[in-house]
Amino acid sequence: MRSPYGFDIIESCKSCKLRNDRMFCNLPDAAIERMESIKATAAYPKGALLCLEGQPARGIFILCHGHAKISTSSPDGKTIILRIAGPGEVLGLSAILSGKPHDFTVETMEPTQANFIGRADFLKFLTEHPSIGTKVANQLTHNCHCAYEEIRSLGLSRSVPEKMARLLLQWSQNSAVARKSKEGKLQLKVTLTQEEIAQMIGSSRETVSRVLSEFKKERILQIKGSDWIILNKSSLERQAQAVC
Amino acid sequence: MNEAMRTSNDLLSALTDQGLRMRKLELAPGSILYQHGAQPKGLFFITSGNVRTFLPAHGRNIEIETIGAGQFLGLPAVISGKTAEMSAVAEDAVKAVFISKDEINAALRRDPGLYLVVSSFLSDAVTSAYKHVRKIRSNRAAFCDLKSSIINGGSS
Repeated sequence: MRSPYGFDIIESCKSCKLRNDRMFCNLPDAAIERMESIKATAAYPKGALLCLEGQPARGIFILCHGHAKISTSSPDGKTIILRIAGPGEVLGLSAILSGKPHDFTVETMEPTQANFIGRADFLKFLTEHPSIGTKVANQLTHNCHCAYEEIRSLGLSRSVPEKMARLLLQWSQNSAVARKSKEGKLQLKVTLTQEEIAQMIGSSRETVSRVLSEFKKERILQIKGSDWIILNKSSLERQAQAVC
Repeated sequence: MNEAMRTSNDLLSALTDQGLRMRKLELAPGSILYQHGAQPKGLFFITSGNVRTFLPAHGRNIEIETIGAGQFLGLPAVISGKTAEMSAVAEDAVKAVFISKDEINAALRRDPGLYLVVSSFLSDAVTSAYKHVRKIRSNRAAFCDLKSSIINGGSS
Protein backbone atom coordinates (compact mmCIF):
# COMPACT_ATOMS: atom_id res chain seq x y z
CA MET A 1 0.00 0.00 0.00
CA ARG A 2 1.30 3.47 -0.93
CA SER A 3 1.46 5.80 2.05
CA PRO A 4 0.50 9.49 1.80
CA TYR A 5 4.20 10.22 2.35
CA GLY A 6 5.32 8.67 -0.91
CA PHE A 7 6.72 5.29 0.11
CA ASP A 8 5.26 1.81 0.14
CA ILE A 9 4.01 0.69 3.53
CA ILE A 10 5.36 -2.71 4.58
CA GLU A 11 2.11 -4.28 5.72
CA SER A 12 3.35 -7.66 6.83
CA CYS A 13 6.59 -8.52 8.60
CA LYS A 14 6.22 -12.10 7.37
CA SER A 15 6.38 -11.12 3.71
CA CYS A 16 8.79 -8.21 4.19
CA LYS A 17 11.64 -8.65 1.70
CA LEU A 18 14.03 -6.75 3.93
CA ARG A 19 13.41 -8.94 6.97
CA ASN A 20 16.57 -11.02 6.69
CA ASP A 21 18.86 -8.01 6.42
CA ARG A 22 17.65 -6.28 9.54
CA MET A 23 18.99 -6.51 13.02
CA PHE A 24 15.77 -7.29 14.86
CA CYS A 25 13.37 -8.48 12.17
CA ASN A 26 15.04 -11.75 11.23
CA LEU A 27 12.97 -13.78 13.70
CA PRO A 28 11.72 -17.37 13.57
CA ASP A 29 8.38 -17.78 11.76
CA ALA A 30 6.40 -18.47 14.93
CA ALA A 31 7.72 -15.30 16.54
CA ILE A 32 7.02 -13.22 13.42
CA GLU A 33 3.44 -14.49 13.36
CA ARG A 34 2.96 -13.56 16.99
CA MET A 35 4.53 -10.16 16.36
CA GLU A 36 2.08 -9.55 13.51
CA SER A 37 -0.77 -9.95 15.98
CA ILE A 38 0.53 -7.45 18.55
CA LYS A 39 2.10 -4.72 16.39
CA ALA A 40 0.44 -1.59 15.12
CA THR A 41 1.83 -0.22 11.86
CA ALA A 42 1.82 3.51 11.23
CA ALA A 43 3.40 6.02 8.86
CA TYR A 44 4.68 9.25 10.37
CA PRO A 45 5.56 12.57 8.75
CA LYS A 46 8.95 14.22 9.18
CA GLY A 47 9.27 15.72 12.65
CA ALA A 48 7.00 13.24 14.47
CA LEU A 49 8.04 12.49 18.04
CA LEU A 50 8.03 8.74 18.72
CA CYS A 51 9.55 8.86 22.21
CA LEU A 52 10.00 11.80 24.55
CA GLU A 53 12.87 12.05 27.03
CA GLY A 54 11.66 11.76 30.60
CA GLN A 55 8.30 10.29 29.64
CA PRO A 56 7.30 6.78 30.76
CA ALA A 57 7.77 4.22 28.00
CA ARG A 58 4.53 2.96 26.46
CA GLY A 59 6.17 0.46 24.18
CA ILE A 60 8.83 -0.08 21.53
CA PHE A 61 9.04 1.14 17.95
CA ILE A 62 10.62 -0.93 15.20
CA LEU A 63 11.75 1.34 12.37
CA CYS A 64 10.70 -0.12 9.01
CA HIS A 65 11.38 2.78 6.67
CA GLY A 66 13.11 6.10 7.19
CA HIS A 67 15.52 7.53 9.72
CA ALA A 68 15.03 9.09 13.12
CA LYS A 69 17.30 11.22 15.25
CA ILE A 70 17.89 10.21 18.82
CA SER A 71 18.55 13.19 21.01
CA THR A 72 18.84 14.15 24.64
CA SER A 73 19.29 17.35 26.59
CA SER A 74 22.55 18.36 28.21
CA PRO A 75 22.43 19.68 31.80
CA ASP A 76 22.60 23.22 30.37
CA GLY A 77 19.49 22.60 28.27
CA LYS A 78 21.14 22.16 24.87
CA THR A 79 19.93 19.49 22.48
CA ILE A 80 22.44 16.73 21.83
CA ILE A 81 21.85 14.39 18.89
CA LEU A 82 23.25 11.05 20.04
CA ARG A 83 22.90 9.19 16.78
CA ILE A 84 20.72 8.56 13.76
CA ALA A 85 18.67 5.36 13.86
CA GLY A 86 17.86 3.52 10.65
CA PRO A 87 15.51 0.80 9.39
CA GLY A 88 15.50 -2.41 11.43
CA GLU A 89 16.39 -0.73 14.71
CA VAL A 90 14.26 -1.07 17.81
CA LEU A 91 13.72 2.13 19.73
CA GLY A 92 12.72 2.41 23.37
CA LEU A 93 14.04 -0.99 24.46
CA SER A 94 16.08 0.24 27.42
CA ALA A 95 13.17 2.08 28.97
CA ILE A 96 10.81 -0.86 28.51
CA LEU A 97 13.20 -3.34 30.05
CA SER A 98 14.49 -1.13 32.84
CA GLY A 99 11.11 0.34 33.75
CA LYS A 100 12.67 3.82 33.70
CA PRO A 101 11.46 6.79 31.63
CA HIS A 102 12.96 7.28 28.16
CA ASP A 103 16.59 8.46 28.19
CA PHE A 104 16.14 10.24 24.90
CA THR A 105 13.76 11.76 22.40
CA VAL A 106 13.20 10.10 19.03
CA GLU A 107 12.12 12.36 16.16
CA THR A 108 11.58 11.22 12.59
CA MET A 109 13.87 12.93 10.08
CA GLU A 110 11.79 12.04 7.05
CA PRO A 111 8.47 10.30 6.36
CA THR A 112 8.84 7.09 8.32
CA GLN A 113 7.10 3.78 8.91
CA ALA A 114 7.36 2.23 12.35
CA ASN A 115 5.72 -0.72 14.04
CA PHE A 116 4.63 -0.08 17.61
CA ILE A 117 4.29 -2.82 20.23
CA GLY A 118 2.88 -1.92 23.65
CA ARG A 119 4.99 -2.59 26.76
CA ALA A 120 2.90 -5.42 28.24
CA ASP A 121 2.56 -7.17 24.87
CA PHE A 122 6.27 -6.86 24.17
CA LEU A 123 7.33 -8.23 27.57
CA LYS A 124 4.88 -11.13 27.16
CA PHE A 125 6.22 -11.69 23.64
CA LEU A 126 9.76 -11.96 25.02
CA THR A 127 8.78 -14.54 27.61
CA GLU A 128 6.80 -16.55 25.03
CA HIS A 129 9.71 -16.50 22.57
CA PRO A 130 12.91 -16.54 24.62
CA SER A 131 15.04 -16.98 21.51
CA ILE A 132 14.31 -13.32 20.69
CA GLY A 133 16.36 -12.44 23.73
CA THR A 134 19.51 -12.63 21.60
CA LYS A 135 18.12 -9.98 19.23
CA VAL A 136 17.19 -7.74 22.14
CA ALA A 137 20.61 -8.19 23.72
CA ASN A 138 22.31 -7.48 20.35
CA GLN A 139 20.34 -4.26 19.93
CA LEU A 140 21.25 -3.16 23.46
CA THR A 141 24.96 -3.93 23.04
CA HIS A 142 24.80 -2.05 19.70
CA ASN A 143 23.30 0.97 21.51
CA CYS A 144 26.03 0.72 24.14
CA HIS A 145 28.70 0.59 21.45
CA CYS A 146 27.24 3.68 19.71
CA ALA A 147 27.28 5.60 22.98
CA TYR A 148 30.90 4.62 23.67
CA GLU A 149 31.86 5.66 20.15
CA GLU A 150 30.18 9.00 20.77
CA ILE A 151 32.11 9.43 24.02
CA ARG A 152 35.35 8.47 22.29
CA SER A 153 34.77 10.86 19.44
CA LEU A 154 33.53 13.82 21.46
CA GLY A 155 35.79 13.40 24.43
CA LEU A 156 38.96 13.66 22.44
CA SER A 157 37.97 16.21 19.83
CA ARG A 158 38.88 19.68 20.89
CA SER A 159 38.19 21.88 17.89
CA VAL A 160 35.07 22.08 15.75
CA PRO A 161 36.99 21.35 12.49
CA GLU A 162 38.29 18.16 14.14
CA LYS A 163 34.81 17.12 15.27
CA MET A 164 33.38 17.96 11.84
CA ALA A 165 36.11 15.94 10.12
CA ARG A 166 35.42 12.95 12.41
CA LEU A 167 31.70 13.15 11.64
CA LEU A 168 32.29 13.29 7.87
CA LEU A 169 34.64 10.30 8.04
CA GLN A 170 32.09 8.42 10.15
CA TRP A 171 29.39 9.13 7.55
CA SER A 172 31.73 8.09 4.75
CA GLN A 173 31.78 4.58 6.26
CA ASN A 174 27.99 4.38 6.48
CA SER A 175 26.51 2.75 3.40
CA ALA A 176 23.13 4.41 4.06
CA VAL A 177 24.73 7.84 3.61
CA ALA A 178 27.80 7.34 1.43
CA ARG A 179 28.42 6.08 -2.09
CA LYS A 180 31.10 6.49 -4.73
CA SER A 181 30.49 9.15 -7.37
CA LYS A 182 31.17 8.54 -11.08
CA GLU A 183 34.57 10.15 -10.59
CA GLY A 184 35.36 7.75 -7.77
CA LYS A 185 34.92 10.38 -5.05
CA LEU A 186 33.03 9.71 -1.86
CA GLN A 187 29.58 11.24 -2.09
CA LEU A 188 27.41 11.76 0.99
CA LYS A 189 23.66 12.32 1.09
CA VAL A 190 23.28 14.73 4.00
CA THR A 191 19.72 15.50 4.99
CA LEU A 192 20.61 17.10 8.32
CA THR A 193 20.42 20.84 8.71
CA GLN A 194 23.45 22.78 9.91
CA GLU A 195 21.63 23.23 13.22
CA GLU A 196 21.28 19.45 13.56
CA ILE A 197 24.92 18.90 12.65
CA ALA A 198 25.81 21.39 15.37
CA GLN A 199 23.70 19.36 17.80
CA MET A 200 25.58 16.22 16.76
CA ILE A 201 29.04 17.63 17.35
CA GLY A 202 28.28 19.95 20.24
CA SER A 203 28.73 23.25 18.48
CA SER A 204 26.66 26.17 17.14
CA ARG A 205 25.07 26.48 13.70
CA GLU A 206 27.21 29.53 12.96
CA THR A 207 30.45 27.69 13.72
CA VAL A 208 29.39 24.68 11.65
CA SER A 209 28.63 27.02 8.75
CA ARG A 210 32.04 28.67 9.08
CA VAL A 211 33.90 25.34 9.27
CA LEU A 212 32.07 23.98 6.24
CA SER A 213 32.99 27.15 4.32
CA GLU A 214 36.63 26.62 5.30
CA PHE A 215 36.48 22.99 4.14
CA LYS A 216 35.03 24.17 0.83
CA LYS A 217 37.68 26.87 0.44
CA GLU A 218 40.44 24.35 1.16
CA ARG A 219 38.95 22.01 -1.48
CA ILE A 220 38.32 19.32 1.13
CA LEU A 221 34.60 19.25 0.55
CA GLN A 222 32.15 20.19 -2.17
CA ILE A 223 28.53 20.89 -1.20
CA LYS A 224 25.61 20.94 -3.66
CA GLY A 225 22.42 20.95 -1.62
CA SER A 226 22.19 17.64 0.19
CA ASP A 227 24.97 16.11 -1.95
CA TRP A 228 28.34 16.47 -0.32
CA ILE A 229 31.47 15.23 -2.05
CA ILE A 230 34.65 14.53 -0.12
CA LEU A 231 37.38 15.87 -2.41
CA ASN A 232 40.34 15.27 -0.13
CA LYS A 233 39.88 12.42 2.33
CA SER A 234 43.47 12.39 3.56
CA SER A 235 43.22 16.05 4.52
CA LEU A 236 40.03 15.22 6.42
CA GLU A 237 41.83 12.37 8.17
CA ARG A 238 44.63 14.72 9.19
CA GLN A 239 42.04 17.15 10.63
CA ALA A 240 40.39 14.29 12.51
CA GLN A 241 43.66 13.15 14.03
CA ALA A 242 44.70 16.59 15.22
CA VAL A 243 46.50 16.38 18.56
CA CYS A 244 44.21 17.28 21.46
CA MET B 1 12.40 -6.98 36.41
CA ASN B 2 11.71 -3.74 38.21
CA GLU B 3 14.63 -1.33 38.13
CA ALA B 4 14.16 -0.23 41.73
CA MET B 5 14.56 -3.80 42.94
CA ARG B 6 17.32 -4.82 40.56
CA THR B 7 20.83 -5.26 41.96
CA SER B 8 23.92 -7.08 40.79
CA ASN B 9 22.97 -9.83 43.22
CA ASP B 10 19.92 -10.54 41.06
CA LEU B 11 22.16 -11.18 38.07
CA LEU B 12 24.59 -13.21 40.15
CA SER B 13 21.69 -15.27 41.55
CA ALA B 14 20.21 -15.80 38.08
CA LEU B 15 23.57 -17.09 36.86
CA THR B 16 24.39 -19.24 39.88
CA ASP B 17 20.86 -20.70 39.76
CA GLN B 18 21.98 -22.13 36.43
CA GLY B 19 24.75 -23.96 38.25
CA LEU B 20 27.49 -21.72 36.90
CA ARG B 21 30.81 -21.96 38.67
CA MET B 22 32.06 -18.89 40.45
CA ARG B 23 35.65 -18.12 41.22
CA LYS B 24 36.75 -15.77 43.97
CA LEU B 25 39.46 -13.32 42.97
CA GLU B 26 41.70 -11.06 44.97
CA LEU B 27 43.30 -8.36 42.89
CA ALA B 28 46.16 -6.04 43.82
CA PRO B 29 45.87 -2.31 43.14
CA GLY B 30 46.66 -1.63 39.47
CA SER B 31 45.54 -5.07 38.32
CA ILE B 32 43.76 -5.10 34.99
CA LEU B 33 40.43 -6.88 35.03
CA TYR B 34 40.09 -6.54 31.28
CA GLN B 35 41.63 -4.43 28.60
CA HIS B 36 40.25 -2.52 25.65
CA GLY B 37 40.55 -4.55 22.45
CA ALA B 38 40.98 -7.89 24.23
CA GLN B 39 38.48 -10.75 24.19
CA PRO B 40 36.34 -10.58 27.35
CA LYS B 41 37.02 -13.26 29.94
CA GLY B 42 33.81 -13.03 31.90
CA LEU B 43 31.85 -11.05 34.45
CA PHE B 44 33.36 -9.56 37.59
CA PHE B 45 31.06 -8.99 40.57
CA ILE B 46 32.88 -6.67 42.93
CA THR B 47 32.56 -7.56 46.60
CA SER B 48 35.05 -5.02 47.98
CA GLY B 49 37.34 -2.30 46.70
CA ASN B 50 36.98 -0.11 43.61
CA VAL B 51 37.61 -0.54 39.91
CA ARG B 52 38.00 2.36 37.48
CA THR B 53 36.91 2.00 33.88
CA PHE B 54 38.51 3.85 30.98
CA LEU B 55 37.63 4.27 27.35
CA PRO B 56 40.86 4.51 25.35
CA ALA B 57 41.02 6.64 22.23
CA HIS B 58 44.03 7.78 20.25
CA GLY B 59 46.53 7.05 22.98
CA ARG B 60 44.56 8.68 25.77
CA ASN B 61 42.05 7.36 28.27
CA ILE B 62 38.70 8.86 29.11
CA GLU B 63 37.72 7.96 32.63
CA ILE B 64 34.18 6.61 32.61
CA GLU B 65 33.30 5.57 36.14
CA THR B 66 34.33 3.88 39.35
CA ILE B 67 32.67 0.57 40.12
CA GLY B 68 32.47 -0.51 43.75
CA ALA B 69 31.13 -3.27 45.95
CA GLY B 70 27.72 -4.55 44.84
CA GLN B 71 28.32 -3.64 41.19
CA PHE B 72 29.60 -5.71 38.30
CA LEU B 73 31.63 -5.24 35.11
CA GLY B 74 31.97 -6.68 31.65
CA LEU B 75 28.43 -7.50 30.55
CA PRO B 76 28.25 -5.77 27.10
CA ALA B 77 31.48 -7.39 25.88
CA VAL B 78 30.51 -10.84 27.21
CA ILE B 79 27.10 -10.70 25.54
CA SER B 80 28.17 -9.14 22.24
CA GLY B 81 31.08 -11.56 21.89
CA LYS B 82 33.16 -8.64 20.63
CA THR B 83 36.34 -7.30 22.13
CA ALA B 84 36.09 -5.13 25.25
CA GLU B 85 35.42 -1.45 24.54
CA MET B 86 36.85 -0.31 27.84
CA SER B 87 39.69 -1.14 30.17
CA ALA B 88 39.07 -1.80 33.85
CA VAL B 89 41.79 -1.33 36.44
CA ALA B 90 41.66 -2.06 40.19
CA GLU B 91 42.05 1.23 42.03
CA ASP B 92 42.82 -0.45 45.33
CA ALA B 93 42.77 -4.00 46.66
CA VAL B 94 39.72 -5.59 45.08
CA LYS B 95 37.82 -8.75 45.90
CA ALA B 96 35.51 -10.06 43.21
CA VAL B 97 33.47 -13.04 42.17
CA PHE B 98 34.24 -14.10 38.61
CA ILE B 99 32.10 -16.12 36.19
CA SER B 100 33.69 -17.01 32.88
CA LYS B 101 32.27 -15.98 29.51
CA ASP B 102 32.13 -19.59 28.34
CA GLU B 103 30.00 -20.58 31.33
CA ILE B 104 27.64 -17.66 30.75
CA ASN B 105 27.30 -18.37 27.04
CA ALA B 106 26.62 -22.03 27.71
CA ALA B 107 23.89 -21.07 30.19
CA LEU B 108 22.33 -18.68 27.64
CA ARG B 109 22.26 -21.46 25.07
CA ARG B 110 20.65 -23.85 27.57
CA ASP B 111 18.09 -21.31 28.76
CA PRO B 112 17.47 -18.44 26.29
CA GLY B 113 15.03 -17.02 28.85
CA LEU B 114 18.11 -15.85 30.71
CA TYR B 115 18.56 -13.23 27.98
CA LEU B 116 15.58 -11.37 29.40
CA VAL B 117 17.33 -11.05 32.76
CA VAL B 118 20.61 -10.10 31.12
CA SER B 119 18.90 -7.55 28.84
CA SER B 120 17.46 -5.63 31.77
CA PHE B 121 21.03 -5.17 33.04
CA LEU B 122 22.22 -4.25 29.53
CA SER B 123 19.52 -1.55 29.55
CA ASP B 124 21.18 -0.09 32.61
CA ALA B 125 24.52 -0.14 30.79
CA VAL B 126 22.96 1.79 27.88
CA THR B 127 21.41 4.33 30.27
CA SER B 128 24.75 4.75 31.99
CA ALA B 129 26.58 5.19 28.66
CA TYR B 130 24.14 7.92 27.58
CA LYS B 131 24.62 9.63 30.94
CA HIS B 132 28.34 9.81 30.15
CA VAL B 133 27.62 11.24 26.70
CA ARG B 134 25.65 14.03 28.37
CA LYS B 135 28.44 14.59 30.85
CA ILE B 136 31.12 14.75 28.22
CA ARG B 137 29.09 17.17 26.14
CA SER B 138 29.02 19.39 29.19
CA ASN B 139 32.82 19.23 29.25
CA ARG B 140 32.78 17.61 32.64
CA ALA B 141 34.46 14.40 31.60
CA ALA B 142 37.55 13.51 33.50
CA PHE B 143 40.54 12.81 31.32
CA CYS B 144 43.23 10.60 32.55
CA ASP B 145 46.59 9.86 31.08
CA LEU B 146 47.18 6.43 32.47
CA LYS B 147 50.79 5.46 32.15
CA SER B 148 51.24 2.58 29.75
CA SER B 149 53.19 0.78 32.47
CA ILE B 150 50.02 0.61 34.55
CA ILE B 151 47.92 -0.56 31.63
CA ASN B 152 50.43 -3.19 30.55
CA GLY B 153 51.87 -4.22 33.84
CA GLY B 154 48.91 -5.43 35.88
CA SER B 155 47.51 -8.91 36.09
CA SER B 156 44.00 -10.16 36.42
